[in-house]
Amino acid sequence: MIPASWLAATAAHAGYDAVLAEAIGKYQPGLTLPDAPETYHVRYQLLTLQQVDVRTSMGSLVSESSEPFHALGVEIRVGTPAFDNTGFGGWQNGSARATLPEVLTEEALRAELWRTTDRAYKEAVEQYARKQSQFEAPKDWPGDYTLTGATTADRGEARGEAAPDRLRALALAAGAELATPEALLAEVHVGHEAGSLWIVDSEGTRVHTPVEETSVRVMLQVRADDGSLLTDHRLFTSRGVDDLPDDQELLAAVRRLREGLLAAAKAPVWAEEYVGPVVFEDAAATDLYRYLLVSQLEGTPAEIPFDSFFGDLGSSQDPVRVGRRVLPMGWTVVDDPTSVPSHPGSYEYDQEGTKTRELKLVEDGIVRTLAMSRVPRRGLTETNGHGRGMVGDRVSGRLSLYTVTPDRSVSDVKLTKTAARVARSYDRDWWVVVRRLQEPAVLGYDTDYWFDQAETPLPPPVQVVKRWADGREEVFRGARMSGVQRWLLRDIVAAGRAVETDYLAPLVPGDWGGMRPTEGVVSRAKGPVVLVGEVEIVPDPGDPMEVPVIPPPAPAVRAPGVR
Amino acid sequence: MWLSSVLFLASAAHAAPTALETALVGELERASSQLKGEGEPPHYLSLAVSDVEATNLGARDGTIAVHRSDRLRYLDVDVRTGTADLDSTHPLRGFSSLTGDGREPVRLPLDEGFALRHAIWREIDDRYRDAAEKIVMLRANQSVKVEEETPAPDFEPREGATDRAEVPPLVVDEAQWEALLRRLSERVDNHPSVHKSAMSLQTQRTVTTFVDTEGARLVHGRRHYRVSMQLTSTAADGDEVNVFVSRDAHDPERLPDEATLVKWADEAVAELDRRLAAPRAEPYVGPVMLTGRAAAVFFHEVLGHRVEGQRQKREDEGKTFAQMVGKRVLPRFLDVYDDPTLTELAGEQLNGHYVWDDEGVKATRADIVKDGVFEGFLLYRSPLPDFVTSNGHGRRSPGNPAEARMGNTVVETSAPVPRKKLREDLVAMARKEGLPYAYIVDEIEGGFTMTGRVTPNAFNVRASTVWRVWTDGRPDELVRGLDLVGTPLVAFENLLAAGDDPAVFNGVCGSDSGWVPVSGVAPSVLFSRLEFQLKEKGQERPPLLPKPGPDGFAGGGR
Repeated sequence: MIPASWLAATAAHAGYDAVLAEAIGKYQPGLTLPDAPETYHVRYQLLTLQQVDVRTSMGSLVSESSEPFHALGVEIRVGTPAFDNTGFGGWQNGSARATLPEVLTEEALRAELWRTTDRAYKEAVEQYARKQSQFEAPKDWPGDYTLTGATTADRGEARGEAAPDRLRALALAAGAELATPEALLAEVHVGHEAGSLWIVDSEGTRVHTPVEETSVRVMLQVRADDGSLLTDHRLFTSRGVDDLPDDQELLAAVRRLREGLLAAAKAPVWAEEYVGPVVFEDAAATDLYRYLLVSQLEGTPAEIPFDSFFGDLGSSQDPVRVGRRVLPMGWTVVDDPTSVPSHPGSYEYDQEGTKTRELKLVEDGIVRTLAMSRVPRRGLTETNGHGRGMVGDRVSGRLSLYTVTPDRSVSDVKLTKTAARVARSYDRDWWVVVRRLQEPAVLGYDTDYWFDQAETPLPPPVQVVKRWADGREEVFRGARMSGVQRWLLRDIVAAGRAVETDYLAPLVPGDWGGMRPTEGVVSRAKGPVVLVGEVEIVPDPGDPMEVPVIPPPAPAVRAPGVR
Repeated sequence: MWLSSVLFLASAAHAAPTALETALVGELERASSQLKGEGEPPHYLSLAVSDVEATNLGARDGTIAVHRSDRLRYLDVDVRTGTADLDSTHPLRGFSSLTGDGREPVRLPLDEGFALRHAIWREIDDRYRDAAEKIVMLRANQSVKVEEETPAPDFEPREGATDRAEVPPLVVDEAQWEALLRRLSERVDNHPSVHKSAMSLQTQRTVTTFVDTEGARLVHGRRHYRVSMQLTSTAADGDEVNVFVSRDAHDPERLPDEATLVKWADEAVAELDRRLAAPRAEPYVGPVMLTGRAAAVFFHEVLGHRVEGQRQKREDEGKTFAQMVGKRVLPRFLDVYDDPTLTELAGEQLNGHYVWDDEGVKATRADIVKDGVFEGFLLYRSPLPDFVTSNGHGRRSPGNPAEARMGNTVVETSAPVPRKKLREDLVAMARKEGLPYAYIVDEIEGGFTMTGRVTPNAFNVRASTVWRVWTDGRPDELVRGLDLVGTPLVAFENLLAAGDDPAVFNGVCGSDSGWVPVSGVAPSVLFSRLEFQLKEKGQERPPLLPKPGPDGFAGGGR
């Protein structure tokens, strides 16, 4: 239920940015402790949303909610842009988040600004000291922050309505289409949020942008008769509820998912150790870019580790190098958050209030620039408006709507011929095709699976296909790719038609482990189907102890004409 | 007599099964039949669904912070392989005990169709496979390890009961409560020393459907309301100071009215200021008096947890009272019992009331201490050598196996001493010992106790309102920063007298089987000697920035 008072308060929210700006004016001068470095920058983020969540299991409703959610983010920087409290590992670092009352008033906002600013400042001062005591900046240190001057923009309100009834009906219909007695788990999670984000900082920035996202995650888990867990999923994401695919189209996709996974579960188990060419088709192609390429193009430096009682907090690993070859010669990668305005991953101003722009990240296969926030790195000292992150957390340069373009694309026929030629060099008349990888958020849902990308850069495929030059195919399951590294992308032999996939990237770069089904930074990858020269594929057998002992219940008999 | 008992649930033993019960029975019977042929067939299987409706309202900073209504269903499946004498619930010892059961709360669909049966099937199968693994390990574990100190069967078979009760619906005037909570929030938040407050009304109706292979068919439940207010501030020395006030009730008409809540709010603000101004005290040993609510929590922590049935069996437990049956453990004038069937005592409805426990056993009174002599334990369906019948104390929150837990723990005295006299005795004792003061504990904010062998078998009762009572007649002085600590047997040896002023503590208790609602009822008690240790102290400075006022950032002050 939405309290009437919330609606009234939402209509009256115009004064929020004035409250945020006033808080900076009043509080920044007071953020002083003896011998503490100066508070040189303060940023507030205010997120006000109406959220709808619906979850169904096997076609029945498990939970639903429709309620407001408001959060305040506070970032305090003490020191100077050349050296401040940020970019150092651990928490209590000067960035803080607080949940705000559902019926947000200016008085309540002021109260939370007071509490959270005070806390964040004290934490910033301590973090500065921790960093100063453990880290000496080298002579070519690029600094910790870039002051850019003020930005002002008001991009208006989210246009869509929450439509909880429609979302419930959609979740139930998709769930009914997905439900099958052979499933271990068949769930539909629908998340919708719409509202506003205000960004106000001590340089005079005042940016107000609409926030609107609808995500439908359909996921199916099946236990094969050898104990293997097979999962597959579909993600439908759009700005508003009305922008989702037509119901029939969506249900047809769900049906194909169900039929495909049930067929895969009955396929024979992969039994050999294969080394040779692999064609990555459909979503598996874009998954290659998602898992192996993106982290090489996001330029915000990793945090300097805090040498703590628990060991190092933070990571010194930086997989990013401008000037490194990441793709074959002639390939380009462009990220343009404004390119598809109707996409929920699209934005005009990033989360630091910087106007975004198109980036040619890779040219001729070599990294030319990186997605940057206002945190500089050697050689790239300016933001390009790609800062994203959770409110109250570190903002870092992220990709959102990116396109990978090869030097030349070949037809399916030509790709097949090339694959056959490469396979012959391995003394085979067949090669492997992978069409879908399993989704970590689905594979780990209600299971013990944890996707550690450092150890296993790619999640296991849903199925692998043996293909012969005459078009014959044999489908297998129970395989995984072994020894994969990011260099795999440089071993692309040929590229075919372009495919496009929406996905949810981790909220914190690289942290795929505990993602929930509708949680993440919504992104879109577009790129070609590819033939990779050499990939190792090994058996990944199931655990027979996981096979159910009791047969599943029989479904209710459906009346004719009733789904 | 300050005891009354009111029927809470309208019982209808012959009411027709609900669709949920029918679905549960169907899957129970199907699974039982399927598993009969397995190598390790279960000797017992039960299914329980907790259907929870909840509405929570909260206010802070003069506005509504939360307004949420939910309905959720949780499933608990208990599968026992082996035999009643040795089954898969028996604790493993040594390295094998590292095995986990992976049990977690299971959310169920809200209707009674195929999805529900599918979810039940999945959980039964998971639990069965775990139980089948466990019994294999257990047999080897038993043969390799020495004989246990307290050998007893793992399960008490019973004849399943049938009872289907109606649980009254939740009645909440949400608009009225929303407005009231907001007014209360405005009232306290404008006070300069209140840094954060939370005014809330939590309401919950739980209907539990329980079926098992012994034929139990139970529908029972609980309706609960809690109104509470919490005020938080930071003292000049960094101590985080809280004031928490609450009232629990089964019936909405028993919640406090607006005038009462306004009075509470004003008193809470005054109490916060008093606590902020109070000096931090030093460690102390000497005479101490606990008034009713504090005494109730003291007995809960120090005695109650140590008489839970499972703690008399496990090899890693301290077993403080395991061999005490028939022996004196308290003064002759004290009785202690736990009676979940009580709905109300001393003018308050009791949070620990229930009719059926979570193992399908009817709740009964468990006498723990009679005339100071130890009588028995809180029992669930895991027998002790001389206590083979559950007294209906098997409890859990969803996702946990049931264990023996407290419900309404009541301390009574046959020799009540007027409170004024207890205080006089306290001062006299301190004076006799040459102490300048003694202490009275009025309020507690909870506590914990360690009952095992690896850690000290000690308790910590977290005092929140502690008065220093001077022997020279100076006015009592509120102090902060003290917790009561000690070991149970020594503490009880020093218990001298009990008052005529029983009071009720309503709360929730967390232990191995999860969080369960409980009550404690006790009169004030006087100890010749107890120990206080320093409470953990906050280290944050009070806010550097001035608190905003109703008119903007200009208000307030450092």
